[in-house]
Amino acid sequence: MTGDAPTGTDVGSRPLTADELERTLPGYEGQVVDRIEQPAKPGLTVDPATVLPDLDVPFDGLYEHQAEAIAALQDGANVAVSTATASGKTYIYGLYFAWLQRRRPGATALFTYPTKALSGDQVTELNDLYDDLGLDVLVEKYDGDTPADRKRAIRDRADVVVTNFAGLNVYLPHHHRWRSTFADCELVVVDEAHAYTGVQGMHVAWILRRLLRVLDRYGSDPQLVCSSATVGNPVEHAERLTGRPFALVDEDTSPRGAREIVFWDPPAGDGGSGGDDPLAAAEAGRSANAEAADLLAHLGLSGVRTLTFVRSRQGAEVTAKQAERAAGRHPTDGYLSVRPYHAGHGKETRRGTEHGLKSGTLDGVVTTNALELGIDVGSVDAAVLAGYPGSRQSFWQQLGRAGRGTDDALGVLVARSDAIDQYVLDDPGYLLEDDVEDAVLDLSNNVVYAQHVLCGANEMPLTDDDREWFDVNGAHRPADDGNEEWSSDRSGDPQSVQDRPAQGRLPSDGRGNPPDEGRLDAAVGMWKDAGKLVGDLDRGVQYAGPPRPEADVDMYATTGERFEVRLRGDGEIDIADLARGRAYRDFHPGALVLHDGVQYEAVALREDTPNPYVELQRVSTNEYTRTQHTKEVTDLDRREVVDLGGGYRLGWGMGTVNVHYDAYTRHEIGSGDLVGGPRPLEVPPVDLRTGVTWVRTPPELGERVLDGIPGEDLLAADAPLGEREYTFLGGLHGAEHAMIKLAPLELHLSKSDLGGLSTLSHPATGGPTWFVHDAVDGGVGFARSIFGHASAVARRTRERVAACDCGVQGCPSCLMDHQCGNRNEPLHAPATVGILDAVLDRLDDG
Amino acid sequence: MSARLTALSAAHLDRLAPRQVADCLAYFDPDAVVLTDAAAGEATRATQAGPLADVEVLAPNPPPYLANRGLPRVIDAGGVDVVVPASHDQLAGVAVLEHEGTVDPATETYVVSDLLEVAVEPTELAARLDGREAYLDALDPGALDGSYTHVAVTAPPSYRRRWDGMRVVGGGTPESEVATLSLSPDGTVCTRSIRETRLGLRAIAGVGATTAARLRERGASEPDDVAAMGVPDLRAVDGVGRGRAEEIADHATAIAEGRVVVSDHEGFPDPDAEPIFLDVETDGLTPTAVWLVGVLDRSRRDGQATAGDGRFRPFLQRDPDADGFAVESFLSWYAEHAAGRPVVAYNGREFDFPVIERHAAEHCPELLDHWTTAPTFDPLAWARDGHAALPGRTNGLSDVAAALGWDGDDTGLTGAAVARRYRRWCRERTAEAELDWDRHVEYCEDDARALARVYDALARADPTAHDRGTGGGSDAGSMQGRLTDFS
Ligand SMILES: [Zn+2]
Ligand SMILES: [Zn+2]
Repeated sequence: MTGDAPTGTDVGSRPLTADELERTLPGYEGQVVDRIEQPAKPGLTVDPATVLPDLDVPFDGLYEHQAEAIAALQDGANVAVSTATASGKTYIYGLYFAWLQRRRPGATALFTYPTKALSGDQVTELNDLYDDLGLDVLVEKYDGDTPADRKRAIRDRADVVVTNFAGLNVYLPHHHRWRSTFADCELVVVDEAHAYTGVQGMHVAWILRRLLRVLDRYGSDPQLVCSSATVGNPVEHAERLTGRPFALVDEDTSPRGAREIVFWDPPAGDGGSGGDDPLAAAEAGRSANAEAADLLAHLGLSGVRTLTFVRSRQGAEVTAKQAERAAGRHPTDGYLSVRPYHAGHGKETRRGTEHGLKSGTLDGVVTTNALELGIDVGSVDAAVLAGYPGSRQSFWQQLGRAGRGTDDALGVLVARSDAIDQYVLDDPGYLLEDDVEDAVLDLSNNVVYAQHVLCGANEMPLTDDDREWFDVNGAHRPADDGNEEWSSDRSGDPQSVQDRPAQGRLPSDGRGNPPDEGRLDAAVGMWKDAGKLVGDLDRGVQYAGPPRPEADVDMYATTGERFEVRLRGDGEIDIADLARGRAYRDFHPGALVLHDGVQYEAVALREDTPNPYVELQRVSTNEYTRTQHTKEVTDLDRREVVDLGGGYRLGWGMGTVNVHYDAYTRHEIGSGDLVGGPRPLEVPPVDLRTGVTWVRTPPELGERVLDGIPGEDLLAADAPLGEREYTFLGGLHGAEHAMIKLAPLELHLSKSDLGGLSTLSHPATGGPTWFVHDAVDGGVGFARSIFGHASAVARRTRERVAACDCGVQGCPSCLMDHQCGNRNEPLHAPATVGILDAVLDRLDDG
Repeated sequence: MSARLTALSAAHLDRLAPRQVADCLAYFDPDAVVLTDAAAGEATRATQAGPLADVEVLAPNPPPYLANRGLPRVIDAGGVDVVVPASHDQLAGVAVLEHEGTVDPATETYVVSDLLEVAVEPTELAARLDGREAYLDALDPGALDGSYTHVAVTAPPSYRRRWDGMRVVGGGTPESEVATLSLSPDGTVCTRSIRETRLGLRAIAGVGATTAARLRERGASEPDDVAAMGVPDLRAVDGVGRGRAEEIADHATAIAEGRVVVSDHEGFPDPDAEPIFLDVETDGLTPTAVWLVGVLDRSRRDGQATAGDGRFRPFLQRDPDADGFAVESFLSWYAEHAAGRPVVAYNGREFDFPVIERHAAEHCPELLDHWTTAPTFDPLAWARDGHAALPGRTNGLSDVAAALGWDGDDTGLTGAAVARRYRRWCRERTAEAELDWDRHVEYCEDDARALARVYDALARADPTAHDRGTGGGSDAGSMQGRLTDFS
């Protein structure tokens, strides 16, 4: 219902460019700081008959990349397709399967998607495709929503089963029920493969190996398709996920309309009260969400159908309301119809919203990244991103939701005060660079690995033959006996793909590393000692633990030990179970928790029961809490150390990170003023054995860096450190923070799974050092990937910190971080720049 | 002959009503109860033992003032000695006990303590036996003549592992179950367990903790009382609808009267088709070997001649290298002599049937079709699907058949223990490790005949008037994956 808004049938009159926005937005205050114009691009098509001569394809042309991918599949290759949203990836494997079934009647396929919503959407699209082709191919969704009385029929009859990995994890032990699907399985599709990184990616990689192993026992060796949004390493990622070699199709030949991308800097806040917490002060400024709501209202009332992306469910709800209110203030005095959309809504609600967008009854939708994936939303004119979504891949994916086919489109990035947003605003060209972030997937986490070994044994006895699936790399042996003074040569870039066989199975992890002989033996040995496995690999190792080991797999965590979040008294609260560290940090008794706009206080934390939990109680205060911690890194097991010369070293390895959340403080919302604490916390320290990357500098660097800093800019001394030492520490600490904050510019990882530590002298390195570590037990490969991309990450970090126009102690747009356990003290921006310059000099020398 | 030890933790004593504890002891009839943690000891001391008043109670973890002096406690039961050292000092006393003749070196001696603990470090892919060094120092095994098994109350009861020659067995408690160890003079240790939900009124399908409490408020304390209530009275209980009242009534009646209660015969094999009764022995839960397929082929039923020849046929594979031999021989026989007759196995849907299918596909694919087209029937699954209520303390075949009056051999062995023996035979291949095949064939036949008894009871029962529909018993948590239970 666009009401009496300008209906804008004439495309030219709608604000789809920066100029038009500047001209038409009421009260425009110069927010447009940059723009990128992308010209229209025609599609390249071929006659479908060239690759699918015996199918009656119901459209005029196939895009060239679709035809190329289908031809590669027909040649027997596994194919990694990495192209933009709406470039017709579904049709590649959909049509190929139709072709395949013609040749091998009875062939079946498994298509996987990361969400149930996307599965539902794709089932409809695929069934429509096969109807149009006049083929009798039955596509069925099979997941947690499938009614029990339908399951058997689907297993027995469907040609294509559409499911997800959390589902496969629990279906695999019942493989005998799946005989008819598994015995004829010729194609396995992993759609949106870029979504599987980090901890979830590790689980998916092992579930895929378990699946391929079971299929192998049923005599099936399916072809694989991994489709993904654009990532920097699509083939490497697909190979790591599956352990098989892949051919690449990444040239997008679908057509595109003209698009203008506008970079929008919200006006600075009215200063706020300042207070003693710059983080809070920054938040008091005009938020990206509020600004996006105004834009949405203006665009919607101008007849521009708009998708607005925000970062949280609560943000989606609030921003949708704000947009409707903004419409009331708008000079056109129009009525605007906007709905929020996120995974917290029921299926019916979400369907209704999707339909409203498609049919045009809605002017706009405010969504989380739930609509970033390929759910069909019809034709949307503009995408407004409230905050940089954290990666170029997501950025393009979200922008790509606007402008279907050859329609012109508008994209607006409304920047937040975050370091990464400000980096993009400084240098929008970054978004157009050829390299996209690499997807980070690391299989070396033994905690996750060992869980899936148990699941595999429960599915079928493990034998020597299973080394193919389970002797996959990970436990990289130490570079040396731990002597830091030893140096390796620098040729071995740990992220590079070595030569790999063109066909057949990779003998390894998909990275070209040799198989990790002995890893399966070690895991089996451990579980036998623990009583969970019996037998030997010679004859068969069987599972002997409590029923359903797969139930202990948590796709988003490495260990089964989780804290449930309860609400005191009646009622429930929808917060996913917490890892121990998170529970201690954010849910300790006395912690204030904001969830979906409602404030709670944690009132209990119990772990002396079989099912540990935290308990919340609703409160209403004008305060928030911050938790302080002390941290140590010990027992470094060095895996690779690069001697950069002159006392500089870059290292990666496994270490024990000991975190003690020992106190918390209460602050007033808005001003950030301290109103209580620090109060001591009664939780034990947490030990993580995890991946650690470190940069060690010579002690003399301090003098050099400080010599370039005027005396009045030094930090006040903080006993026992003098002002010079304390300032230098501020530089190291700043480098640690900023590198973590800006690593997502190079690597597709989540910074909340990283932590750090800076010190003027560390016993293991014998000098000033900052550490960046994975915040997940067993490691998640993030710290290691920063080691592999240290030079690029350090350069981006240096650029942002140097460009920030705040004072010497930094700000949230450069050095400050919410998760700092030390209240963002000390931080020193010029010292950080000086340190990074020195390190970059060394890194670039090699 | 064996000593039976039932393990109880503080969590059990906290969760279970005294009546349930008593019920559990009645079921296992143990020689002693082992309290697995110090808190359990405190709880029992505080309550003057309560339901544990009439049984020997062993506490390996008493307060220090009780633990640090004298010799460890010893009990002599079931032909073995059980030593319970409460500290390293007491552990050092084992040599004295042997020297004094208090423990008999000719039979296995079991040392029950909390001094050993198994720990895993998944980040390092390594496991440890914590406390091992101090334990060995105190025990000084070199100075002992007898053979010793070490029961660690911190480890789950399925735990069996040799650490540097030291036999370690788990004596702890799994979650939501109560376990009992049978310790034999020859060193065999068997574990049996019962789910907490099978204790007290909760043993009745459809009765959860809340309903059990409401039934007790109405004066029902035994399944007999519930059976006597009838459906109308049960429906008057809060939260119990018609379907569940019928389910509860049926199962309470089955337990109280020791008979099956059948609601309908839908899906039951044709009464004219004489089935064959099958039982398999394997080397574990996800077996690499099916080494015995036993088939009972009756010639008479209820006095009538049947298609069968009355024999029990063991298809036995003694040679560890002849993988698939038992399954292949069975299927050849079936294809030739019994094709089309229903194959009945207890818990077959979860275990026997898929196992045979997988092994056939692997070892004799040419016979697979004969198997996949064979009609199969699993009385347990069928009952759970809502067609019948079975009597018996648990759904295990021996409990159900015993409730129906079957007087089988008590072999004293569990499926898990038999599987362990077969694995040992495969590993060691010595005369000492070889199984007593005849004995296992007898056990297998006994199980097949018990199964036939249950089957006949189901076939003969008149369906009850009410139509319960399907939906299954509340106890659908399946036996699959329970090492202590499978057979
Ligand atoms: Zn700044
Ligand atoms: Zn910090």
